[in-house]
Amino acid sequence: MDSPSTETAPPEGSPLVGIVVVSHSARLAEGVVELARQVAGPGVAIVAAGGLDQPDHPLGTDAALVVRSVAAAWSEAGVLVLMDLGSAVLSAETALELLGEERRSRVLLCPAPLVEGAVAAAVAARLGAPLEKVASEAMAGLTGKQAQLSPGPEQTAGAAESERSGALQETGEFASSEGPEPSPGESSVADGAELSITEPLGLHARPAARLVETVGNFDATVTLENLTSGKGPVPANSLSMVATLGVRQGDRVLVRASGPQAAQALQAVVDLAAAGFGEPSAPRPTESAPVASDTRPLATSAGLTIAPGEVLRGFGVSPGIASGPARHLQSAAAGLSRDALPGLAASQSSKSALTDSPTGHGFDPEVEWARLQAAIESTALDVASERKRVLAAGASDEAQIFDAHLLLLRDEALLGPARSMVDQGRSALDAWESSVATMAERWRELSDAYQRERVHDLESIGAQVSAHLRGERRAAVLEPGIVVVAELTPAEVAGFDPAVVSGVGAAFGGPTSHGAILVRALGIPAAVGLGEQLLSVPEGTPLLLDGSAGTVCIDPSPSEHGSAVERAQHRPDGDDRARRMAAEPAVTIDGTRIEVAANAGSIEDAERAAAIGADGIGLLRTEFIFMDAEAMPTEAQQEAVYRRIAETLAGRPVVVRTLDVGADKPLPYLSRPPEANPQLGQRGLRLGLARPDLLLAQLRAVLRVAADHPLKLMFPMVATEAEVASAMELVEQARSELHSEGVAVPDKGSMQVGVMIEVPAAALGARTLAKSVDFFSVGTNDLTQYTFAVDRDLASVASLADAMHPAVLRLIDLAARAALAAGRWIGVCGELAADPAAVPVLIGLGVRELSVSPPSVAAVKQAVREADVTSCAELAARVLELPSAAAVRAEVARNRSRTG
Amino acid sequence: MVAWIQEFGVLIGKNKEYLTDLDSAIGDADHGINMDRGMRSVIEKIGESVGGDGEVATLLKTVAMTLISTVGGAAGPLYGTLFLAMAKATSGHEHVDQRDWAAALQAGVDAVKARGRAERGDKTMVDTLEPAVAALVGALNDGASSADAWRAAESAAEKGMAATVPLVAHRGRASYLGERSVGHQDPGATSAWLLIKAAAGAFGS
Repeated sequence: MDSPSTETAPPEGSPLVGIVVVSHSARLAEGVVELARQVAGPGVAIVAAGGLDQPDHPLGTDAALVVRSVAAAWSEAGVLVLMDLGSAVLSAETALELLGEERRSRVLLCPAPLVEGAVAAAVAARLGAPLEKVASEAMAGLTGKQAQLSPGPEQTAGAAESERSGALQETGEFASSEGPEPSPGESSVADGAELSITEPLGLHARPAARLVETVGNFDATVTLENLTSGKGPVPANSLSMVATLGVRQGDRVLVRASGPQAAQALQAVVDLAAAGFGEPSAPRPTESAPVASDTRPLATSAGLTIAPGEVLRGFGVSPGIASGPARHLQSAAAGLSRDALPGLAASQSSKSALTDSPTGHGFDPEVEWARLQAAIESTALDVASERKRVLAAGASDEAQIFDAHLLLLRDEALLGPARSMVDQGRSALDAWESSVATMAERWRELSDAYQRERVHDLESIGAQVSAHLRGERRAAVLEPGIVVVAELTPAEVAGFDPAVVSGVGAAFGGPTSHGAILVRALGIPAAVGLGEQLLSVPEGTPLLLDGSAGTVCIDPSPSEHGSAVERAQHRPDGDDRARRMAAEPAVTIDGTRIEVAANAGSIEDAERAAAIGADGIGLLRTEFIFMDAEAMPTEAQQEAVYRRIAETLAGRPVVVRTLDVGADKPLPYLSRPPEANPQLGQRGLRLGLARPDLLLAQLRAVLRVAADHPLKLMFPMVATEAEVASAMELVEQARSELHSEGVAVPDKGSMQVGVMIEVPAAALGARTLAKSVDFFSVGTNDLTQYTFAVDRDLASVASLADAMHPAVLRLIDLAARAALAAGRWIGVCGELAADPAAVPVLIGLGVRELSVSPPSVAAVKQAVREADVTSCAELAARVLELPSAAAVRAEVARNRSRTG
Repeated sequence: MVAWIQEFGVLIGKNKEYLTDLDSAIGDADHGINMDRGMRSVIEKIGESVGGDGEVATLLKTVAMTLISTVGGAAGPLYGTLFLAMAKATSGHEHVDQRDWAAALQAGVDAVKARGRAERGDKTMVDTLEPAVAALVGALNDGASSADAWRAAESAAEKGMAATVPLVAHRGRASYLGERSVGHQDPGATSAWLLIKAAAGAFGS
């Protein structure tokens, strides 16, 4: 911000000040962080340090948490700490003492108002202001509100100042906050200039950012007022404030300036406006290009064979409402087969650059820039061919979307920052994604709906370039929309990107297929069994899919669309919010922390779980180590895998379930007699006890890692206490063996050992089991199958088995009561835990840990945050008395509409 | 050392309701509950680690960090700061004698004053701790036995605590009450008295 320039974006790539918000309340801290993140963009680390990790007493401040949060928000530019009152101040100060000498000097405790301060600091940090400037911005955070709420400017501004400057309002100054007040002799007379905005999109993100930067170069207080709409005046040094003016094409804007460099500042703004705010004067596709929004009707003239408004009925398999153009998997795949890209070879060489680099993160800028350009060119080729295809279909309006995409690929505002990040040694992918994310954030915060919608285009094109950079083949479905398939196969579903596939409709198939389960795990609304007619819907036809009702409406009328959007209204917001808060703890309304962990069956799963912000791994299925091996995996091999996973989770707990195979999953190195009924045979712990050599090796490997990491151990397929006692003896044997070999092992009792509750006998005998173990984890899939004596893969009977049936819930209730009475905790790691409808019931039954597939973590955490334990307990008590799963679901829905 | 902390925990547990009652008069009625929760965690943690004179500093640091993370109210960082400063003062000491303890307590009280910007007369735990440490140091300098010195400290602490009754609070939540805080004994000064009482029991016998 020091060099006067009207051209450049904020100093991308240089470290931005981090922000920590300390509060007595975790929810308040998270809320403030959420608000601040809206204006901060992805480059600024903002971390909540709220509340105590004490389930019974969540209110309070914790200096150690502040230390961890400062570390999480760490930046070379320093960290600003904002706090609420009382002990928050003391804890922040204590945290400062606990920080290392080196870091302490770069941490500033700021007494600014919490909410306004955090938001103002976030904006300043994002603009690249140094720590002290960020602090002074935060301190001035109240000025906007004070100005807004005061009847006249003279009440907020110094009287002398307002006399000098007429109607000028005092603002939170950025550039001149440290400057002296102008003395009467200086030229400080407010000058006004009126601008007529000719930009087709008004003062949208880029022009506004340039204006803010320009103003920041002068020791002057500049305000803007939208004379057309009557909004303002607002300080011109704040991007978010300028955005609030909602300046559109044709609006008249009054610029006023005061202070020592008022005249120069005013002239610079006038010059900037005259230069079109630095916007390219090339044809602006945005003037006429339609928005590539999911909801915009696409070409419907292409020969519909189905009447608009017609509704196809099938089964809902994954709840939620989706609307968007039909995307046939086959036709989308036709444009697919681009192979590895020009950049791929370079990508490999850049990897060696990475390892050779003395700094540890330096990529070769030349190589990376070449890769990025290659990826952009490849994407441009793709877009051009898509455009051609659409044009050929006669949709010339639609083709303009691609023109807009092509223009984005050439946009200096994207390329410039990416280039400078690449020059600083960041990878092409990293630089590109940061640049895209920064711009997307900036657009998203605008009040102009038109501009906000263009974020879709930006992100879509950004993702295509990223895919090329990763050397991936193009995703089967490139354009956002509702995927239409004949049948939902797991392989196809696995290729769906929830960011692109907003819904899935299948012509055939039933609700219990694996594909349906998978699509539910991905959180994509889906319906199946919609009939063959679905397949004749032309590509691009607007569809409205209701994954709860199991319907697809073809080319819905605006009113149909409107009512569906109304139904779905809380959902997109909720999802978005859930994703942003995925890494934050899940605490119920009344303050009970529920651990939301992830299930994992591979190292990749564990990485995903860590990345998504799971509170740990609640079920590590160790089978993958055994299934993939040619020979029995050694203790050392197992240890390496567990260690890697524990390290990936970085201190978060990992529940390792011992080998859970039956005769239906033969291991090549373990010969076993065939069983007529593998589900009821020697599986899980039963096999482990029959082959103690196998189990001991696994226990030894787990214990070795548990000496250094918070591992917990869990036995599957337990039916009786005697089995648990034998298993515990093996644990002790493994521990004493290792101990006598001089290997560090956790003390007895310091590594938790639990059992799965998946056999009804275990649930019924839970009071006995609870005495021998530290925790229960309910495997609802098997518990349901064993309760109903139903093979869930057998379509003819699968519908009998529903985990929401009171029969299953009562078993969970028995186990939960037994656990709580013995002071143990109980979790759920089955499919049921990922069902948002089941979450309040499970919490009400006493469940305090939910372990779900990584993509469900965010949604489940959000469901927890909407629950409160007291009314959940009442709900749970009610549903246990109901006659059927359907009645339970209906009661949960009633409960939700009552409370929500 | 472990005996001191354990005794402090016991005293806090016994006086939890009393402290909370005091706090409900001029604060937010959570001092007893907060301290009790904190000290329970501390006792649990201490139970896990293996004691011994060589590890006094480590133990003190454990006490500090546990209180910091579990108490929640202002008492968390304040008592945390006290124990942290004591840990620093005893760091590297193979053996901690009575004079070392007195010096460590002095360092702790100084740190609390700095952290809370509190002086004697502000109606805080400093009103208990400062005279107690002064009495302890004075008695030891006069050649008193450690039992006598700690008795003196305990009695000075009690007097300091009682002296908070007529004071106007200048720090913490109670300061919002201003004049209305007069006539109430300060809960922080009271828990600090329990701390000294526990120390006198552990070190003075």
